[in-house]
Amino acid sequence: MNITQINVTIAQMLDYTTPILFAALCGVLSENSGVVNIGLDGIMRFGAFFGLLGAYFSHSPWVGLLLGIAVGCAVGALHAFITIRWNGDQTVSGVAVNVIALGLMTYLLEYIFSTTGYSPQLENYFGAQAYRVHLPFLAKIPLLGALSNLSVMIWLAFILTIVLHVLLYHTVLGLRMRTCGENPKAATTLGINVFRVRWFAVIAGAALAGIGGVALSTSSFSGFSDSMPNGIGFIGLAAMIFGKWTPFGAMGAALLFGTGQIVQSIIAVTGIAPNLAPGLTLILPYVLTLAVLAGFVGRSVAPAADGLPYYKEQR
Amino acid sequence: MNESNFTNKFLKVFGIENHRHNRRDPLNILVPLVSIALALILGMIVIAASGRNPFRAYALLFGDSGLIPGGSSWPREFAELLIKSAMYIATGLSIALAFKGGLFNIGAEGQFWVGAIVATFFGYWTPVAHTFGAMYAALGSLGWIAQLLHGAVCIIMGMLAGGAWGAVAGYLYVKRGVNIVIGTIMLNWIAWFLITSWLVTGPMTPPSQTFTSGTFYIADTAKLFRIMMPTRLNTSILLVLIAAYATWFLLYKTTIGYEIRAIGYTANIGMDAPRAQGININRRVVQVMFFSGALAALGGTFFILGMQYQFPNTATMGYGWTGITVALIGQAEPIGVILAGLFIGAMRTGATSMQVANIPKTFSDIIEGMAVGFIAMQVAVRYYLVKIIHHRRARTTPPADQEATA
Amino acid sequence: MKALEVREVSKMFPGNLANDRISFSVEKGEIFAIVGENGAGKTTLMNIIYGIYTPSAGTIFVNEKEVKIHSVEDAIRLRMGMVHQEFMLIPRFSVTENIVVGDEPRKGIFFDYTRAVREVRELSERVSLTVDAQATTGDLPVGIQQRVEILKVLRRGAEILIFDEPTAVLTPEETADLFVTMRKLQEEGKTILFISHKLKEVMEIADRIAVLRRGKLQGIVNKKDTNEEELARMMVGRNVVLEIPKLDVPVGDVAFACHDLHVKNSRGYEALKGVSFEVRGGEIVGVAGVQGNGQDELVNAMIGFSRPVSGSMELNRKSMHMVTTAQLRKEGMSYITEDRARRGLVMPYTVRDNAIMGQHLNKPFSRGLRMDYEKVAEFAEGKVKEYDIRPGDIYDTAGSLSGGNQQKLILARELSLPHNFLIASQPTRGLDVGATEFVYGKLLEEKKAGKAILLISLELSEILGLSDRILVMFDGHIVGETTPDKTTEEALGLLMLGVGIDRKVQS
Repeated sequence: MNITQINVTIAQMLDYTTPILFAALCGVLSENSGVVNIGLDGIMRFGAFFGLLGAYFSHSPWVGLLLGIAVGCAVGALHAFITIRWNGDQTVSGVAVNVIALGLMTYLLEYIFSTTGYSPQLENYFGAQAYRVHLPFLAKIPLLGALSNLSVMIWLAFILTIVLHVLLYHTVLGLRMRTCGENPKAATTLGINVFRVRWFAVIAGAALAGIGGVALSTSSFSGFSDSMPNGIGFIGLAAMIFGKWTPFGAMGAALLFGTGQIVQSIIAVTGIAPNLAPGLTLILPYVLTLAVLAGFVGRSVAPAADGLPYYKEQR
Repeated sequence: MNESNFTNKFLKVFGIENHRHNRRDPLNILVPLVSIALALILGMIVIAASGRNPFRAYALLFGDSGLIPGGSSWPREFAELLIKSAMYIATGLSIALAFKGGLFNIGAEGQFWVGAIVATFFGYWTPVAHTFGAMYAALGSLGWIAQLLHGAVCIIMGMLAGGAWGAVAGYLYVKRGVNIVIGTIMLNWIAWFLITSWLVTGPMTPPSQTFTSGTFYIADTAKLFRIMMPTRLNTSILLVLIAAYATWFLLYKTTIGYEIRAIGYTANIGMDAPRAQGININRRVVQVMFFSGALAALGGTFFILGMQYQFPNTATMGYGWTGITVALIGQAEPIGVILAGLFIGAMRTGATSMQVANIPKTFSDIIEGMAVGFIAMQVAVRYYLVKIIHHRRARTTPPADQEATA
Repeated sequence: MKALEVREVSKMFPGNLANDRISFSVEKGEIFAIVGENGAGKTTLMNIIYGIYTPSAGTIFVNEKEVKIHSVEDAIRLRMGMVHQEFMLIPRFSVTENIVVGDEPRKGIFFDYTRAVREVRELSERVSLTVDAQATTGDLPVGIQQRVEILKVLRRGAEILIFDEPTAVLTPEETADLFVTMRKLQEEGKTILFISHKLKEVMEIADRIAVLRRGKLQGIVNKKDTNEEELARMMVGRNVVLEIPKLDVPVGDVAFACHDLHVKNSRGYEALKGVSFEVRGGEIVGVAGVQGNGQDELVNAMIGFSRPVSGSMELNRKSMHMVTTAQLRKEGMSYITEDRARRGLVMPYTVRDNAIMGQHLNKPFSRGLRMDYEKVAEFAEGKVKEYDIRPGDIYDTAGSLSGGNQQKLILARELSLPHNFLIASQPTRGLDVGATEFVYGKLLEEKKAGKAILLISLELSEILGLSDRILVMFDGHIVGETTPDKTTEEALGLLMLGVGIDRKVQS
C-alpha cells in the first residue's frame, strides 16, 4: 500500500464519514434539548433528493444545498409541531417522518425525473474538482496529503462540528438548550421558554440532517438513488450515542464508523483478510454502540429529559 | 341444552365471553379512522398537485386492492392481499404486544429477518430436509403429515430465534439500562447486515455454478400449503389469525397478560405498583420481548415458506416498520391489528395497479406515514374531534335547561 | 413597607378549592412563615405568587403596587425567587452553570464562563455561602446543593425569597446552617417566606406565622405571642385528634426482626446506619421520626426494593437475605403505602384488577396460566361492599377514585392477602377524618387478630394513639424506644430532633 493509495483511502473514508457526521450532529443538537429524532434518516432522504433537485435544475450545488437546508427545516418543523406543540410521541413521529420520506421521495423521483431507482447524474456537484477545497501545501506532507483536495462538504461537516461545540458549550443559547434537555421544569423556573428552545434545536438539527442528505447525493455521490440514505441516518444516531451526545464525540464516532464502511476497499487494496464478509464489518457501528450503552465499554448516558414530552404546569 | 347456552359454552372454551363491562372510549376507534381518512385526503392532494387524477388513482388503488370482490383478477388480488397482510399482521402483533407491556419494540424488522433466515436454514438444511423428504415418500398419501411437520419445525425454529433476538434487547434493557428503542434499532441493523451481507452472500449460498442468487431453495416439504388454487394464497393468513388469537388470549386471559398490562400501564411513568405487589418486572419484560420477537419472526417465516422459498439477495427492509404502522392504527389491540393489517395489505396490493396511472407503488407509504403522523398527533386529533362532536351536539340537541322547562 | 401583599386570593382546581380568599402582607426584611398540614394549600399559594399558577380570584401587591404575575419571568422581574422543595438543579452541570443559567454573563452571544465563575465566587463570599464554583453539582451533598439553589435565586437579584419546605431533605446540622443563612439574608434586608409544617422550626426562625388549613387562612400570629400548642391547634383545628381505644392483646411470637441493618439511599449515601428491632404478633410498633431520617430506606429494604449493605432481616424466623418482593409477600408480608399513585395501585387498571394484584397467581383467581376473571370480579364485589369503596363499581379505574377510597382499596387488597406482618407506611397521609378513622379501625382489627404491625408515621398523634411500643428514628439510627404511656409529644419531638443525643457515640 503506497502513500497515494493511503491518501485515496482516507479521502474515501472522509466521503463516507461526512453524511454520518451530519446525521450525528442533528441528533446531538436535537437530543441535547430533549427531543429524540429518529426521523433523521427520513430527513436525510428529503435532503438528498431536494439537494440533487436544486443542483440539477440550477447547475449549482449551492442552490441544492440551500434547498436541502430549507426542506430539512420544514420536515424538522413538522417533527417539532407534532412532538412539542402536541406532545406527540417522539419515536412515533420519527417513524412517520421516515415512512413519509420513503414514499414521497420515490414518488417525486418518478414524477420529476420519470425514472425509477436513480436520478440523472450531476455534472456540477460538490465532488467535482471545481467544488473542492484545494490546499496544495498539504499535498506533500504524508497522510495530511489526503486533505489537500477534498469536497467542500467534508470541510463543512468538520467546521459545523466545531460550531456546534461552541454553540452548545460556549454560548448562552447552548447552556439553555442543555438545561432544557436535562430538566425542562428547572428551565421554566428560570424564565427559559422550553418550547421555543426546543423548536429551535429540532429545526436547526433537521437542517443539519438535510445538509447530510445533500452531502450524500451531491458530494459522496453525484446523484440520488432510491435506496438513499440506506440507513446512514441510523449510523448517525449510533455515532451520536457512541460519541456521548457531544459534537466532538460524534465526530470521532463518525470517523470510526466511516472507516468501518470502507473496510472492504481497504481489504481490496491491502489484501489483508480477503475472505472477511462485508456483513461482519458493517455491523461494527451498531455493536460498538450497544457495547457503550450497556456499559461494557465506557458508558454513554443520554441527557436526563431526553425523549420526554414537556407539559407546562399551567392551570 | 338450548342453543345460546351451547354457544356461550363454546365461546367460553376460547375465553371469548361477553365483555359488557369493558368500557371503551369511542375516540379510541375514531382516532385511527380519522387519521387514515385525513391521510387519504392529503394523498389525493399530493396526486392532484402532481397533475394526475386522484379519483382515477384511488379507483385503481381500491379497485385492485382485493377488498372488493368481482372481476377476473380478483382472486389473485385477494390472495396477494392476504399474503401481504399475514406478514404485516405478524409484525403488527409483535409491536402491539410490546406496546401493551410499555415497550416500543422498533426491532420487529430485525426479528422478522432473523425468523426468515432461520426458517430458510431449516427448510433446506440437508439433515432436516432429507428426513422429512424420506418421511414424505414413506407416508404415501399421508405425506401431508411430513409437510406439516417440516413446516412446523421451520416456523418454530424461526420464532425461537426471532424471540431470542428480541429477548436480547429486553435483557440489555433490564440488566444494562439500554433504552429499548435504541437497543432494537441497533439490533435491527446488526441482524440485517449479518444476514444480507454475510449469510445470504456466503455460507448459505449454493456454489456459483448453479447460477442461483440468494440462498439455497427450501425443500418442497417445508413450503406452506396453498389453499386457493391457482393463486399462491397459503396458510399463512390462517396461522397469523391463530397467532392474533393467541396474543389476545395471552394479554387478556392469562396471569402473564395481567402482569404485562399492569407493567405497561405504569412503565413509562416510572410507577412501582406492580413491583411492590411482587411482580417480577424484569422477567416479564424479557418475556414480552421474546414473545414480541417470536411474532415478528413468524412473519419472516411466512416470507420464506409461503412466498420466496429461499432468502433472496434482493430482499428489502420494511416489514417491521410497516408493523409499527399496523400496531399504531390498530391501537395495539389484536383485533385492531388484524383490521389494520388487512387495510395496509390491501393498499399495498392496490398500489401496484396505480402504476398504470403513473403513480409509483410506494404511494401507500406516503399514506401510511401520514396516518402515523396523525396518530402521533392524536392529542390534537382528539382535541378537535371532541370539539366537533360537542359543537354538533349543541346544535342538534337543545340545551339541558330548555329541555327541563319543556 | 410591605414587600408583598396578597388580597383575597383564591385558587379553584376541578372539584377542589385549594386556596379560599387568602389575605396577608409581609413587611420588608421579615421572615414570614406559612404553616399547615400536607394539602393545606401552602404550595399552591406559593405557586400563585411565583407565577406558576394563575389565581382564580384576588390581587397581589409587590412593594405596595398591584401586579399581575402571569409567568415565572414576571415573578423574577419583580425580584422574587423560589427555592423549590425538589431542587431545580442539573446534576451534570457545574455549580456555576447552575447558578447563572437563564441570566448568564455574556460576551456577545457567547457565554462568559470565566466571568460567571468569578461572579459566583464574589456572590458566595458576599453572602458567606461557601461553594466550590467549579464542582459538579450532582457530586455535592444535599445541604450544599440547596446553597446553590439559594445563590441562584440571589444572583437574580431576588428581594423576596420563598423557601418551600426547605428543611424536608436536610440533616439537622444542615438545617441549622440554613437558618444561619436565612438570618443573614434577613439582615441584608431580604424578605423571606418560609413554608413548613414543622412547628419547631417555624418557632425558631419566623417573625410572624400564618396558619393554613384546608385552603383557608386560620390566622396570623406573632411568634412572641404564641407557642407550638396554639399553632398545632390552629393547624389541625381540634384539640384532640381522634380518640383511639386502647386494646390489650396478648403479644405473640416474633414476626419480623432485623439486626444491624445498613441501607444506602438512591444517591449512594448510607441513610440507614445500623438498625435493629423486632415486631411481635398482636403489637403495633410505631416508628416516629422527621421525614428523611431513614424511614424510606428502611421500608425499601423491608419490601425488597433495595438490598441492605449489611445486616440481617428475618420474617417468621426465616432469613430474608437477598429475597425478592414476591418471596417476602409469600412469606406473609403486607404493605400499605403512603404513595398510592406510585406504589399502591395501577391507576388505569380497574378496581377489580387492582383488588387482587399480588394474589393473582393464587387460586381461585387463576389456575395455572389462566386468569379466572369471574372469580376476581366476585372477590372484588365482596371487598367493595365490605370496605365501602365508592362509587362501588368494580369496573371503575382506580385512578378515578378519591384518595380515601383508593386507600380503602389498598387496605382491602393487602389485608386479604395471607399475611401475619403488616407494614403501614404513613397510612393516613392526605386522607380526610372519616377515611383516617377507617384506617385506624382496620389497624386495630389487625392487631386484635394477632398480626404484627409496623407503623411508620410522621404524625405523632397517630404514633402515640396506636402504638404499643415506639421507636424513634433520627439520622438513620433508632435513638430511642419508649411506650405511649411513658412519653409525651414534646418528649418524642425532642428525641426526633436528636436533642440530647451524644453525636460521638453514634459515629
